Amino acid sequence: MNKSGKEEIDELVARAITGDKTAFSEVVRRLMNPVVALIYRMTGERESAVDLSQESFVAAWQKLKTYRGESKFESWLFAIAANKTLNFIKARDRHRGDSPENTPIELATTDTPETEMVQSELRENVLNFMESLPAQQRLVFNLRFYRQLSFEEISVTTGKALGTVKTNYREAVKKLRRVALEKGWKS
Amino acid sequence: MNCQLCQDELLLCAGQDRLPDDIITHMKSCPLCREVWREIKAVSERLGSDNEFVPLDIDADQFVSDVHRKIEVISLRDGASAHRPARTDQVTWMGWSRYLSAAAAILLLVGISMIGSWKGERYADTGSVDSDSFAGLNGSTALLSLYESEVDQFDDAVLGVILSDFGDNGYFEASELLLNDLSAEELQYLEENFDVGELL
Repeated sequence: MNKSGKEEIDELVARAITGDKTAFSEVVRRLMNPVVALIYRMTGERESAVDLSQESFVAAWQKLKTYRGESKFESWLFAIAANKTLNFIKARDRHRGDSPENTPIELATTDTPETEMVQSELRENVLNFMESLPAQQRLVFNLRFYRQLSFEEISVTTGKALGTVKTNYREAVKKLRRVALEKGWKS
Repeated sequence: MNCQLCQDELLLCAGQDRLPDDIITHMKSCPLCREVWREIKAVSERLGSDNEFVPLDIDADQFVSDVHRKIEVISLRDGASAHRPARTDQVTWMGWSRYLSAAAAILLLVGISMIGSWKGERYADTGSVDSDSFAGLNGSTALLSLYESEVDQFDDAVLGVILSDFGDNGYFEASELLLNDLSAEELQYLEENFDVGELL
């Protein structure tokens, strides 16, 4: 997100804090994709990703007055989304069972069949890799790799010590290299 | 910087475009670490970006509308819970102290009934009341002796009712005033947690 984009978000958030629902709607529009994508990679479930994303924005609206601007709004929002997602994963893992409606489905695209095949294989590889990581490593990896947060920001977002966050990321990348080699990920 | 440190740092740089200066300096003269970085970059490129993980069939307007609908539902629910009947709020506010007062009152009623029917027999099982103090005492004095150990649990109104109901007959008839003062929840609590027999 470029600087002007960040500044726009900050202005919208400032208005939303005063109760401006229109401003909040715009915040939702701008950040829904990264939030949905994060949760989808974390859970591997499309429907759950959409529901949890919406719940995250609802929670953000309710807690908006507690946002002090000490961290980026995106980081603050991701902290809420991460909390909800980790709770969801914990509950799901306790009651794991086959549920057809929650089986990861192919994401529709308008690209050519060849591109779609490549993207589908990429998604499958990534989701399988994510599934192999402990939930906390999965979260740290997502925030660092896909959202480009600094380790300090991730430490604040997750509430974990800086050293722990770095160790989580290091271990996730080590596993990534092993998996890519074993599974023969194609470039 | 040695290779071990460099490669540890390279793991932390996976997905980043820029490398720290000391890493770059080390790699200029280290083909092994350059190869490790090349491999990390190649794997990173196979992870895609957010674009591959956002369902294209999600309608942004519908998504935003759903968020606001859920906010509205929660607001209505929170508003409804703020308008519960006052009695419930009062019981909730007073918490356990209310139940304890009522429980203590009922226990004393039962105890006093038993004492009255014994008429002068020593009451030796209270643990906190000296059995000798009951020898030859009439009901009112016995009642007061018991109250002294429990009086902190009662407010003046409850205590007054109990005292006025305890006559000189030596036995106690449960006061309708006292029982009517108890809410349905309190009565249920007493029934569930104490053996009050026919008293209620």
